[in-house]
Amino acid sequence: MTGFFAYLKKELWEQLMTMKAVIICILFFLLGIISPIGAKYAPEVISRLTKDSITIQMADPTYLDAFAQFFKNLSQLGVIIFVIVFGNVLSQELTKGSLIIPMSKGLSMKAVIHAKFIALVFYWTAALAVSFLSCAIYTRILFSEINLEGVAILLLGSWIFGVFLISLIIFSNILCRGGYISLLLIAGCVGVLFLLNLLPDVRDYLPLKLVGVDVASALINQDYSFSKSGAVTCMLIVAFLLISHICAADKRKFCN
Amino acid sequence: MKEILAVKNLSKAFKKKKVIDNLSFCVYRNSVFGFVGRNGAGKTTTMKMILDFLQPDTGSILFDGEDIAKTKHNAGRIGYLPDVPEFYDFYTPMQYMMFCGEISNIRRRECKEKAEELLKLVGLEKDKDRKIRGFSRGMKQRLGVAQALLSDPELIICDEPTSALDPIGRREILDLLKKAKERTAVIFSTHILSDVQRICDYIGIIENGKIVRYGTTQELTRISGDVKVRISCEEEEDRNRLLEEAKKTELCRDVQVENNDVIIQVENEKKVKDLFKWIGEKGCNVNSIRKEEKTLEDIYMEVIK
Repeated sequence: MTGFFAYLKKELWEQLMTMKAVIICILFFLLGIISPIGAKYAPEVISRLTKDSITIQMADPTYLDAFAQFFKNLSQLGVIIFVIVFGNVLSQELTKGSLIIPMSKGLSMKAVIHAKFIALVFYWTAALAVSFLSCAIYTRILFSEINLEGVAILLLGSWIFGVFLISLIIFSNILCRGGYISLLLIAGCVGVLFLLNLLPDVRDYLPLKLVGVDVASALINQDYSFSKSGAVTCMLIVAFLLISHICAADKRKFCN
Repeated sequence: MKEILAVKNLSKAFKKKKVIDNLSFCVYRNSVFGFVGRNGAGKTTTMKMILDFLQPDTGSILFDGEDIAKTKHNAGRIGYLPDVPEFYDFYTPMQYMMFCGEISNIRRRECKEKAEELLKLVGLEKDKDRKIRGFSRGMKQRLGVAQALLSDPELIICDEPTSALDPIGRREILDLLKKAKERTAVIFSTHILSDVQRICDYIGIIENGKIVRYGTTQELTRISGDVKVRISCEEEEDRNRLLEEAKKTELCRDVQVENNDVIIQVENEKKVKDLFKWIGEKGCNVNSIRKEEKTLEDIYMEVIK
């Protein structure tokens, strides 16, 4: 894999210099802080908006609501933001032709794929960390009680789901070899997952399960299991990377 | 002169369309080979096969005597400058050169020295720490030349490096390629014939995927058949008479008027004598008669007819 480390450095540096990494961190930070704020003040806002004739009984919000809101935001808004910012990470280069000169110097397409994957996983991990830390700090500030027990496994689930999406991004970019069609392919794959999620028999095996648990009850009762969905997701990650790897074996396909 | 690249009986078809048809030529060390042809003639396809970006259907490409299909370690030995080089805009030229050096496995210190030397050679030493984002096309082409020379390649391939440049930028790149010849062999693909005439030692004219002429500029002009003779007449009456008479005789293949001179085209060098004799016989008042030197453009137009 000629040029892997050089390309990885370039990739990490590029996301910083083009502000993508900074934007992602800022957005994920905001995502982290709006969750406890939302959980804390949503009941108050709702009660003020409703008419006097209607009375809504709502329990006092706790840190569990903040975490539930956080994981919901992360699996929806967070994932969408990440895919929009990084969804074209490889197709952009293939379309623009900036890989031609490095490839003429011996850079292999496999090195490109691996470097892109590792760089994106690095930024996903960083974004997740920023987001969760900001959420935890604000939850601590806004709610008197906070318990982090069981949160780690939920975070791990979200992280694996993110890695799955990254492998899907790489796979679609390699398969479509440039253009926005790869974004459509990602959307299509996620759409299929949502359709499959309607079937109760397969629900437990889908990557969506990793981000679709009832957070509050999961944290209280600890009655969830990611073993099936986690294993399937890991297998899908490996499969996507393997197919991308095989497609990238012939670099000639990407030089013309 | 020792050859560095030999292309032998190369053919390539896309779907059923034959783009390269039994193409053969060679490139010598420390020389500039002008690869001339119209758009779509097959220049870029040939160069991509040399770079191993495309696989030929038949034929072979020998680089330094070895078949490139069998040797996989030519990357650092062949430099490449695409027609529109795309760089990473967030890098400075120095950072980009270091990035290229790392891919080519050049030691860091050595690469830094080499990059500084090359950026100076291409006139970018003052801009070496400026972001590439703000560079003009000409500056990008110069950086392209620098990166192509970074690993001390034995051959650099430049795909139409001057076609999108203004006259100053074009001149700079041509001067650079001329300088680069001292270090390496150069394949210079273009359709700008004046550029070829200015810097190339050898020329190959490609048409419909075939090399239709190959040789030095002198050889190409020598072997070409038709010869043009320019006759300047004293009076308009003489010019018109000569024009009419020339149209009637079989000796003259083509007759034209250009800048008040009569241009007569004869079949070959031998017929020039007969033409001089014929003009004398006509008794016209003639100021001067001279054989026109053929330009590369004339030859190019002749062979692609």
